[in-house]
Amino acid sequence: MNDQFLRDYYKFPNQRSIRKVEDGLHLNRKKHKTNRMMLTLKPMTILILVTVLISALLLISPVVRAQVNEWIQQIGGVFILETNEYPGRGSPVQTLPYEQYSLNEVENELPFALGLPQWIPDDFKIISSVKVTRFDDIAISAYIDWKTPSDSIFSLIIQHRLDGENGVLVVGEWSVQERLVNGEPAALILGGWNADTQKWDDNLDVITLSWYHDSQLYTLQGINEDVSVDELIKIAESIR
Amino acid sequence: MNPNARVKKGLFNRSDTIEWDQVVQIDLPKVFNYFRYCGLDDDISEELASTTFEKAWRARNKYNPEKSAVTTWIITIAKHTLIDYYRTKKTVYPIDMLDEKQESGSQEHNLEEDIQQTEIFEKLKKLLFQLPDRERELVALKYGTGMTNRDIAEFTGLTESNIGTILHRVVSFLRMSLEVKNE
Repeated sequence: MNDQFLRDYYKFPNQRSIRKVEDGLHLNRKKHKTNRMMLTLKPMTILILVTVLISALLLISPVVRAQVNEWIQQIGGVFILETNEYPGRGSPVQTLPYEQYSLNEVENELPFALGLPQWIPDDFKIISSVKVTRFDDIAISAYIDWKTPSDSIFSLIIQHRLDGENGVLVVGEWSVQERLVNGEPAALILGGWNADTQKWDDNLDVITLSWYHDSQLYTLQGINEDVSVDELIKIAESIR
Repeated sequence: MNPNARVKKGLFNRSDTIEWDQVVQIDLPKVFNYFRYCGLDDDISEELASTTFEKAWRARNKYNPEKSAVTTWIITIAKHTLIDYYRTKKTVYPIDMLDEKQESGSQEHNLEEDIQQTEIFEKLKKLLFQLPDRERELVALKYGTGMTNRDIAEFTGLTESNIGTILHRVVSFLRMSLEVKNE
């Protein structure tokens, strides 16, 4: 086959474009190291920020959801939109008030049963109060937290939809992987939205696992320093 | 957390195995030519190659060396980058416009003896751009990234013999088209 004319078409990129890519990667690696240092200084602050943002995003309106429907993927019933667009842009940040209950009394306040992990790393200490947020007639979420050895918070968030709809997780591009929890698909998300830069930051050492259990959306969230992906899945699989 | 502990936790051990400087040197030319053999201009190919590496960096935690070589993984990202590009920005160049682009092009090798070659390449670029998606991808994988037919078979799910047949047909078509146009 005489294909020399095609082989002759090959050319090397010029040095400028190679340098551009190398510089971009070097910058990212530098930023990655800096972010990790920042994270060790204030992991709790960042984790709370990510938790609040993701929780708010679960409640994205049906109108918006319809507009972006074609880009939404589904992993085990969890709807996910991967985008580079910061979802909070242009709209005011809404802080939901929360109620606090003890673990014993919280089930009386909720229209659904709470599944709790039967296994958790030994050095995690459960925080006795459970936070509950109510978003109009749309959803109720319960937050069960553990204090970790790194002084961060590890959270289990259980969301019950009152309107029968599914929420959509809005996350950065390339940040989602599919994993299995008790043989069922679950969404593993690496990174979080950075409110300062209004960009998805996968250098944040935050890991989130979302899946459906007993018709409720369960989300586990922590930082890599405290929990590995395997441990996260082990916790999820132990929930009864 | 020290690197060993991180490896033990199993999250970043994959990305730590990627030697990015080496990957850029080896794979950037392949990615750049993958886009060029899809019939795109050099400047757009450069831009898309840069986007591909940015995406690869961001997706580094997803790379699994047990599943594929780094090059194959990056070419997969390049393929998705191209799909995104087509979805948002694909334009069909009329022949006149291609001629203008050729005249105003920023080729560094603008010597007289190269003019005829440049003309052939411009025509080839247009022909590549107009190929059906599957044929264009096979040409880009074969000649742009340097994959063997076996690699392409694994990458695309087609059989090796099917790839050989398609490529033979496409190469013959391109050669004939260039010869006719040059007459």
